[in-house]
Amino acid sequence: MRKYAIWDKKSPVIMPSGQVLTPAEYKEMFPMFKLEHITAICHAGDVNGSFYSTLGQLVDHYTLKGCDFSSCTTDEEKLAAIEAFDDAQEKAEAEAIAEAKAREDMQADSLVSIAASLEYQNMMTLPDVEE
Amino acid sequence: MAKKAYVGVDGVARRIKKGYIGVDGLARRVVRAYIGVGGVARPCWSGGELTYFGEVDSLSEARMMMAAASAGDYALFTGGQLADGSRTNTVDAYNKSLQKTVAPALTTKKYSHAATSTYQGAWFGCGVGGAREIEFYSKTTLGKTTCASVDNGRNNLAAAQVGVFAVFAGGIDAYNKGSAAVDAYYNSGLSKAGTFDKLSKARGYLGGATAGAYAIFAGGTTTSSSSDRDNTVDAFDSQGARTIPDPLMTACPIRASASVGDYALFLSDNTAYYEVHIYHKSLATTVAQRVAVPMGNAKKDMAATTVGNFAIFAGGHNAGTYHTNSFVCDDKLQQTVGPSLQVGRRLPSAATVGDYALFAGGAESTTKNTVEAYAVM
Repeated sequence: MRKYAIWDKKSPVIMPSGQVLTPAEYKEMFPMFKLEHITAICHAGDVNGSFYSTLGQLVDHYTLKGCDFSSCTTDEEKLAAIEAFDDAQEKAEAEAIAEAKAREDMQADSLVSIAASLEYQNMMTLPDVEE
Repeated sequence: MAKKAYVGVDGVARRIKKGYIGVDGLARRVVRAYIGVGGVARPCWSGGELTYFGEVDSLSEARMMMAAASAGDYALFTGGQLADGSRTNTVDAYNKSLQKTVAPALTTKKYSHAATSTYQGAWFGCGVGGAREIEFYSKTTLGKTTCASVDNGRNNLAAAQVGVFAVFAGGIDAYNKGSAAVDAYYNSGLSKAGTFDKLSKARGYLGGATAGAYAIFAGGTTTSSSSDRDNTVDAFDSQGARTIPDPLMTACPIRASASVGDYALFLSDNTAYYEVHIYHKSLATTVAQRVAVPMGNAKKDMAATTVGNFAIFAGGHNAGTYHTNSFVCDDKLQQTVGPSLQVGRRLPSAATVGDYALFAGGAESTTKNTVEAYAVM
């Protein structure tokens, strides 16, 4: 799922508090976005002001995490690479959790089976009851 | 070494601690001043630098996992776990001259409780041993007041101040599960408020810090196990309304958090590098920022406090090795590896009094009673 988008520096910004800032007000809050050469990154959703960064900063962060940007030539391609990386990470995490749960369930089943066998063996050692 | 400057006041030389100069109609703080001597600029004054000050009076008892907070002109270090594993209710108070004094003990012996400061004093709540208790220490008298108990006892929770409230959030309950409970107390009157919503996700070992008009609670674990990591962030405004900002970029428990300038900072427990999660007072967050540490000896189980324009994270350990470096972030978000403590220890506690940040207690092979100070000079 897409988390980040490029802010066009012209649209209003909705903050997590519900406040709506004009582009000028948002740039006063984060003056780095006044610089022409800085690509501004925002949250990809209604509340676009919940995340702020430069594209360079975001790419550096994901490069350290292992995301490969070597084939990216545009800013949008870089954001797409980040989205694919995050999706892959979340999928791997979900699979690991499911695998761990399956192992736990199997272990629980095994324990129940062992307990039932022991109980049967125990019962077999008891003398027959004469009616 | 900071250069000092003095000015005569009523016939007594007083040291200048902070200096300001007008630039374009705005007062700008002077960081360093130079004077020309023989055609060469010589530094004659530096103000507002963070330095390691030294060791001060030891704690009354060697202990770790205390809760610490500022109450006006005092820094209070409360409770904790002793070397033999037992709990204590001792309270040590340090004044602005770094003299230790006695304050009333906590009602119950406890550790892994939470602390925060409000305008009128310091609050301490819950913990292992006194899971439902909330106590307040007045900044003027250091007198203690026992407040109404919380409904859900827990430990390893977080606390932060917002508006007129001291807020205690999350924690680990008696069943070793995360708690979503949020308890807020009015600063004035010390009564319990009933208007705060619960956390959006039950968790303990979370961080708590204030940014602007919000108390922010970040990260944690959903059970008592450190492997059940979470990245949820909740924010409460001064009316008790909850907002859910963007989550942490890395799910992790947060042992050390601090407020500096317009930001709340939460330090991951990563031990290869320092990674800090930043929330602006608007609740916007940005890329988690990393500071490389030589030989990868960043640490976990640290403590944090803010003095002047600096948030300091110190103490902690890295797989049983007690590196003494600190991590510092100023109000402009400049981050560096900072001055070192002399004594490495995990799970110390930190609080600020005047121009000093105190790091107290903790443990290495055994618990420590050492108290060390950083100063802004």
